[in-house]
Amino acid sequence: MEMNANDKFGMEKRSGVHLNHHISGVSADCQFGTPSMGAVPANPAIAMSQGVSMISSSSPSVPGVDFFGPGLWSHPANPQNLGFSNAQTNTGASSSIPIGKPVAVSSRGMFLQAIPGVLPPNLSHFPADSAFIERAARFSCFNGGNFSGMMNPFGPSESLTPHPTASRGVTGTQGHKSELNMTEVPRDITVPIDHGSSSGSPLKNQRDKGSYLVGGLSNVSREANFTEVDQEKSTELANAAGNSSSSDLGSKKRKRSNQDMELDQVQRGTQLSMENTKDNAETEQNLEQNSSRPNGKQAKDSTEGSKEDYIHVRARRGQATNSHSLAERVRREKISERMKYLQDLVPGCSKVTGKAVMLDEIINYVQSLQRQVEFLSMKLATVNPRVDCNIEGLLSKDLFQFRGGSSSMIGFSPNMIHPQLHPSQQGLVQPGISGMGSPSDAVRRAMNAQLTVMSGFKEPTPQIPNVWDDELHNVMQLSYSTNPPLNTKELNGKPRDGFPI
Amino acid sequence: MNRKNSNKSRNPNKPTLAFYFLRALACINKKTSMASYNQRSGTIKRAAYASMALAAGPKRAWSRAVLCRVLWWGSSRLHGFPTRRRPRAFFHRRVRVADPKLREPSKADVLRRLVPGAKAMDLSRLLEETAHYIQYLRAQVLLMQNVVGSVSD
Repeated sequence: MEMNANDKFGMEKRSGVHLNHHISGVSADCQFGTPSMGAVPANPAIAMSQGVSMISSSSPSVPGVDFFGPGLWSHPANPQNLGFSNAQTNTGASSSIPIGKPVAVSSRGMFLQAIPGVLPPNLSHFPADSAFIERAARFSCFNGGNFSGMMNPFGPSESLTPHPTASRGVTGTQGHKSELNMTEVPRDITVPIDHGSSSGSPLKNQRDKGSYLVGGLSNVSREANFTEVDQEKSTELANAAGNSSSSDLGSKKRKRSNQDMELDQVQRGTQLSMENTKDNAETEQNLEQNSSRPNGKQAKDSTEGSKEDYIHVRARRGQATNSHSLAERVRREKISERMKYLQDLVPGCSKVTGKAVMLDEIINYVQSLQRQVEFLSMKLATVNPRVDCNIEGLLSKDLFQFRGGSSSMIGFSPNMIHPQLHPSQQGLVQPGISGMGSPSDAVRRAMNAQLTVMSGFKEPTPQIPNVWDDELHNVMQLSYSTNPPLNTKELNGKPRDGFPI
Repeated sequence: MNRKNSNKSRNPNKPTLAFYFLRALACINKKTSMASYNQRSGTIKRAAYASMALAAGPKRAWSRAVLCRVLWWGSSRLHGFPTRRRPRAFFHRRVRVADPKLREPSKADVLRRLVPGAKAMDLSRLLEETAHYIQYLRAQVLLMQNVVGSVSD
């Protein structure tokens, strides 16, 4: 919930994050004070009156955010604010919709005038200059027109459920929907609050609509300096200062793994003055963290922990928003990520580009490794008769080398593996075992008898109930023993593929 | 989501690998000293794969397939077990594309044949299994090279 409230406002996000993490009341915000905030408390009456009600209704950990919200709008949106502040608490951390600026578009003029005065004192870290307000308005523009687009890709777990109609009603249009946005914005703002990652998505959705965004922000000065939770958003906004940078928008995948990092980034990016530098750094961090994302695309940030269990993908600008194409893109990105990982594994493939050539290299490498195993096994077969005593020595030597305790290792290592192997293997092995039927029991008994004869090893007790361990013994006995007469008929049943065994 | 893909830290556990393999070698030495050279080499090869699969654990499809195959081979040899039900059938989801034998085998198909247990996988899963398999193959090769080197000294 705290997250929700914090993410409510794009600019607020960072402060909200700070609030979340430095929940020390209203005074916490003053820690981030910027020199320009001196003008903020000039007219706190409005904001305070509204904000206080908001704060009291919402969770105490986000006083600043609530302050900002109702104060910013200075509208009879208080009931709505209260409503969605409650909704925030209800929705929890489910909203995956990025939050744009909660500032409604319609009353842009009014807001812009009211904003300097309504900035609550606890948001001292936000400079109460017109640039800030304009940015806020810009974000609201971003947010207002594309709620439907924003919310559609997300599943029912989204926190939009409290206001599905409101969000659906908002189509991606410009200021003439401002009235609608006015009412929509507060609700929609609440939705993305708990999702740090979503912070950038409304912005991006705006981008997706392209012209919509441009028109909506026509009278908002584009300043690159703004503190946005979503680093990508800030970066893109900076790019969009020329009103044309939205092309960088990429599909966003919200991943909880990135949230902490982005959280840090958000906190660092609170300072407006350092925005530009931060944007670059944060973008880099985003790109680094999001290994699964294409480097060229802005990764989805998740300032707050988005608690979804699945990855949300946003349609990129200029691309089809069909669910099939989105899924296809996700699949392609997964494959490319795995190919990159394989590129690191296979030696000499750093310069190779393209899936086909890479696959060829991988195939060659796997074949060469398998041939090497075969060759080495032949070599071991030749030298083995001479070194039956040496094997045990080797075993203890290796174990010493690795662990420093051979005898303890011998008995220990199989046991170590068992706990983790046992649960998952049980279901699988039992069908395999049942396929073999009763002979396996006899084999196991014979195997256990033989195992006890083996010298130099502290074998696990034969009655180990672990199924995986039984399989291990089975493998040992059945595979390594060549005494029974070969039955060529059975060997013909071997699979006819490239598998070496 | 718990995406382990982004955190691919599945380095092979070398001591475990060494343990299994050396134990198998000792076992083979004791039992098959009279067997022919080819048999021994084949057995050692199977031992290598089995130890690799055992060290990898049951979480990977290829390790399960390898063990399954080794077990099936061993059991069939020991008991004259008919091959009416290949163990692979237990573990394979028969998810086939249309006429896999008719169309030209693509590179992914070749890879599927190479990597055990990866016959019915989509490309992303196949690549993941291949990466894991390569890691363990490399560890196994290094281990065997070490063994050969120390044995021949």
